[in-house]
Amino acid sequence: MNRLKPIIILPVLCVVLLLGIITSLSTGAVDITLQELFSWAVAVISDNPSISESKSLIIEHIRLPRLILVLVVGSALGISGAAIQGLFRNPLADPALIGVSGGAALGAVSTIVLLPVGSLLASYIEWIKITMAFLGSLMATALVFYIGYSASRKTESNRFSVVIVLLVGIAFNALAGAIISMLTYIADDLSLRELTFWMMGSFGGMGWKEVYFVVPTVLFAITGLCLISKPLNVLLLGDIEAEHLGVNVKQLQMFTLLLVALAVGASVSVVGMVGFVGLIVPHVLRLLMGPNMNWLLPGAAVGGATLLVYADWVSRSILSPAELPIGILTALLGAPFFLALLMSRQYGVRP
Amino acid sequence: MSLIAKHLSYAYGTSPVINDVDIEIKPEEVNVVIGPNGAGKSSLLKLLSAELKADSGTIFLNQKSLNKWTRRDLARVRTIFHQNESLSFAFTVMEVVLFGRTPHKTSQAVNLEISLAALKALDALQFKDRLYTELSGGEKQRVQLARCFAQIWDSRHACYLLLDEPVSALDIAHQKILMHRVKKFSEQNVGVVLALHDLNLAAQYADQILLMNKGCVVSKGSPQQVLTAANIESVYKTAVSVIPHPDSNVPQVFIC
Repeated sequence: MNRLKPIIILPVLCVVLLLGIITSLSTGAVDITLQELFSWAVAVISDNPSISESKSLIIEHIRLPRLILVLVVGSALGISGAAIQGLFRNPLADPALIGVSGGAALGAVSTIVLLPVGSLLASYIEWIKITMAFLGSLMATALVFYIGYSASRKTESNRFSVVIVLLVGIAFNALAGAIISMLTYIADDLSLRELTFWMMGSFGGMGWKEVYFVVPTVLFAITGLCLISKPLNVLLLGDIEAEHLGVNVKQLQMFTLLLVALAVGASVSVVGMVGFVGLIVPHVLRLLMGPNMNWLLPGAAVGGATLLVYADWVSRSILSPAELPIGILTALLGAPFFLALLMSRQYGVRP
Repeated sequence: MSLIAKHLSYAYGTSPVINDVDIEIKPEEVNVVIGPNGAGKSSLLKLLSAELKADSGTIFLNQKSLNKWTRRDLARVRTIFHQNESLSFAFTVMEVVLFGRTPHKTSQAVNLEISLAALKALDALQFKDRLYTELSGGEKQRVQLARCFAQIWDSRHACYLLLDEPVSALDIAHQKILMHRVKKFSEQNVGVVLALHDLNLAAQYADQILLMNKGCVVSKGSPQQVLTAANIESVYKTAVSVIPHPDSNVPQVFIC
């Protein structure tokens, strides 16, 4: 297999991302030309406005916060996928497997369905929903890890068994799915519509408030994951081999799960379910440049941001002025691309 | 400086696998553990490498209790090879061997140099740029052994090399290359413990042989002392004849 050098792939990816950013900022209900975009950027730096106020307001209050959110959520999903696939030494693993998105969905859906309409709390429903989803994702991950770890202690030599944690995650997701179905069944029409849209994910109506919540959490997690790329690499040799090479495997596993839960939890609690990014992005990059985590983790962050910027752009343009939920698009764009890639290249990972 | 275990016992659940074993591994010595399947060879190596925790007994490595070593310090002085490798991601051979340098703070240039030397020592240099996942079983085994070698290649302290069935997938040429290299390690202040099934290979390279059966060391000493027809027949329940090697005079075992 002819692997490409990360030093070539990563800059190319960054250029593609930059093009996406420019496209995303300039297209929408009001078209903003490249020149205007440029003069806006100059105005921000030099404090000398040469762009119409309405357009600069559109950029600053609508497109920029949304773009930042898209970038950050995309990187969070991409890097988390790479980290989880490494942690479980399984290219089919996905952040959803550790319960993080199931927990978030449980928190969000129960808020949508159970919070009485017209009550005092209903005016804060957006933030209650986000908080419940975030707490749900963190608690679900903690639960999956706790049960998985104590169950593996009984069977193996005091070591966390990847298979058992995966099984616990699958069981938890089934349970969460059942509860969500139950809530869907009892929901009224309005909640039903809202929860369906939540499950499909959307960046519609996102502003700076959401940015202030998601960005610090995700940046913290991304930094943390990049810092542990070296031991995560060694972990691919096997838990026991990594321990013999001086890695504290249990600590590393817990730390990785915590960071992934933070990144994915914060992301999905705000934008809803956006599937496929965490699975496909690390795969594509691994096919292109090999499994080395030192490159794969930052690469997956950039790749996830890139995929989501284009998906968001399409979701806004295709049915304009309406918006297609982004979760639909990531799967719709991602799956055929992934299948084509699988068929065209010799696959470097044994199933 | 040595690796000393006293009154070591270990059980999986209720079935004992190691029963009151005493062993001393001196640097500059090649120790070979032999015995039938399930005799406790692998478990003994796992106990010595701190992968398993003994139910009772003590292990001292270079005068310090094994429990008191930090993972990283331990990783700098002992390395262990065992067969159940699970690497399924497509790293290059060079990347795999470089993982052996993880516990060390040496520069990348030094790490590369050591990894190349370790690959060369196992006649694996020719596939350093190939993908690990595309190698044959024996080639993978040589790469994993090179990774273990790289881990203790430049150590100045007394080190320990624990190899569980290192020749299982190797042809005779590479068995010889490996055993010669292991012997050379032992001359550089490295204590070696090998678990082997090939009694004749054990006889040719061991300074000390430990014959295990049902979790106990039943005989310990030079190849001449341990590899007697009576010892082998009582442990393996198989009739053998023992004949001296035509060149080196060490005992060679043949099934009757």
